[in-house]
Amino acid sequence: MANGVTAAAVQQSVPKRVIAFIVRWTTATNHKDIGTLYLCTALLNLFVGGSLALCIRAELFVPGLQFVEPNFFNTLTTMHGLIMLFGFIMPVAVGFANWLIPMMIGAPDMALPRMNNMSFWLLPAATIMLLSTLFMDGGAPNFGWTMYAPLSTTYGPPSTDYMIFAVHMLGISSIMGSINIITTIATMRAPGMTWMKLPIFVWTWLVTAFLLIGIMPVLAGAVTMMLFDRNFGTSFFDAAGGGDPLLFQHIFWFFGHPEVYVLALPAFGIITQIIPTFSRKPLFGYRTMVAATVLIGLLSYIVWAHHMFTSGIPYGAQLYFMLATMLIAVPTGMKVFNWITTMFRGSLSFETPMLFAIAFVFMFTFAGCTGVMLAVVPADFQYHDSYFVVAHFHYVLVNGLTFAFIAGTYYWYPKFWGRMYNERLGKWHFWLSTISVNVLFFPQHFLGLAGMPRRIPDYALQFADFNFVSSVGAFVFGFSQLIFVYNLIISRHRGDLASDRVWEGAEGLEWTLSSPPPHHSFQTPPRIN
Amino acid sequence: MALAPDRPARRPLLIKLVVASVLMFGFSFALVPLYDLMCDALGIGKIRAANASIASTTIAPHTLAIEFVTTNTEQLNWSFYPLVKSLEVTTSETYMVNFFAKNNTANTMTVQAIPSITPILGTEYLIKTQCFCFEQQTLAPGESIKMPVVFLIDSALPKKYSTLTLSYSLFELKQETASSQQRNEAAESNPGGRT
Repeated sequence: MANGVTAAAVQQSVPKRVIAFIVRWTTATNHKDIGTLYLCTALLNLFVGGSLALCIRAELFVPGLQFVEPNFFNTLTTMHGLIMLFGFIMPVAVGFANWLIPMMIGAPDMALPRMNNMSFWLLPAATIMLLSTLFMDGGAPNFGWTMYAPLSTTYGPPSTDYMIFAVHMLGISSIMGSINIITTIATMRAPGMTWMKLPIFVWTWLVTAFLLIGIMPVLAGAVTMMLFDRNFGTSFFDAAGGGDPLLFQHIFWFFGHPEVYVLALPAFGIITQIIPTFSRKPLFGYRTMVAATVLIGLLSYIVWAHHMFTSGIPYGAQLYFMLATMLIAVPTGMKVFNWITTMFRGSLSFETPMLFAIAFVFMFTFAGCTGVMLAVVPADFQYHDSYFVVAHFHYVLVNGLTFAFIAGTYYWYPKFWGRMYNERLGKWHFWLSTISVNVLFFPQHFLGLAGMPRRIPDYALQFADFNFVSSVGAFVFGFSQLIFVYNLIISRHRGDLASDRVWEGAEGLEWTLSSPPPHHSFQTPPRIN
Repeated sequence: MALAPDRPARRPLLIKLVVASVLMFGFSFALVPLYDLMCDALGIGKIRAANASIASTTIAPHTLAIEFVTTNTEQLNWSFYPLVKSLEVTTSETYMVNFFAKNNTANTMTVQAIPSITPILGTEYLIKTQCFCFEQQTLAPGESIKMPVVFLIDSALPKKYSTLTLSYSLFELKQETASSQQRNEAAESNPGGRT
């Protein structure tokens, strides 16, 4: 990758070099630069969101109120959710998309590089605005990341309007990013790169981008209605004026459920790239993988009300949403089957990316099973709003997706920077993370089944032991991520030089480029047979 | 980086994607009337519609008698009685009645009146829009007060209830209860920290 700081710039004074640095990154339009910006922002936000999570776990270490007052606890859970979702998982997926899609389809860059720059820079602006609410009078939003009306409309703190604006900016950023990705995949493929030859990562991002175009405007609509209810006297969600608070939940989850797959599909894509490499076998069932991806995308639009079983929706609707939700387990199961069958009788080796990928398959499947439990209406009536739900979606998002993105980082790090990460540190990171993340989230299932509600700063004494264990796991997990960051930083200059192909079993166009790849990935499109 | 001549054109695709985004934004607003339609189709709206029809259908008003009764707890040395013993009322019309209270003790005291309606099935038809029983009264020794209650009777009240009795019992609030309740009220009047 060409470095913007040239020899002439090095001789310049420090302020000039700082300005050159700022100009180089703020005006970056190269897909790798944008990808790097996205990944670094996501990493930063992971630690911001993680710090909030550690505050939550510190408060829940023992019963009683120790560190924070209840209202601030509510702002902690809200901001943790929003930052992790919009500031970490979505940007990390977009970062991988920017880095990899042009290289994987044999293109020189993204289709719309300048729009790419804008969609990135909206992200830090929105994140800063979101975080600034923590320092405002009346406190940050305290109604949970789901922003249910009327908590967010009638009773929301004044800073809610800033949160709404931040969500608008994030939405515009995602939509522009998606348009860019679809256009790139549709028009920039190398000759011979037909649709059914696209790497699965590109397929998953294609479906993800369509999902984003379908749902981000709906979220924008929902928060716009919130804004109007709060400031302009409308009654979209106010029963006193003929509206309905339940309508908010419907609109929100129409966005919210596909959003889960927006986060999950790119992670599926990454895992699908990694497992064949370290199994030294081609992917089992490419076509079913594509079909499953598209099916998950379509089904995700028609299951939203399974988040609302206890809201009084009619019996028939409960039955339909229960069955439709269980149907999603079929294409997801196809994917898990294909991953396992790819590994079956392969000559496996267990480098760090593969370890994280296998852990992903194992723990994500477990999370899927608790998901099916939650889909069962009568059972959901008991689990609803309990720690069981918290445990379920953290198994999806942390043990599952975050592990996949860490796997992807280790997998492509040598390709991106031309140097190998430290394998020994990688293994330490893996084992510490995998053990601690299960110590962290597994006991929360039991807490939920025993009846501990979510989003509470204090709890009854019988929940003390499991909360104690969970908090210990949280702190070990949080601090073991520092090994990851340390590894990434030191390997940048001190790691062993990586070969072009890096991994013995790696297949795909990105491995035909040098490590690190040239500034414009493919100056002349490669021929694919 | 020149485009290869055989590359598909971007502009039509871009326009389609932008239009799709705008349409989905519109769709979120279309969900508002769609939601009502769905509720009607699935029968969820029936309850709401039924409630609405009660409110909108005008039932012919009728008249009935209403009596006012007060009770003091034995230890409480206060005078407490209605200024009107009974009233002939027409349903759906608003009336105001005053109650008299006087603190005969040598201490400043806080009291609250608890209402009850006989027959009990008439309770939901007697709508108090303003009542001293919504608040606490603090009176100095020898101080007296006139306390209003504003109410109306719903016309839906079955005609077999020819007389309703509205009775109040007066209770003293000990210092602790009084202050904690004031705290609760302060918290309720300031939801979500909004001032």
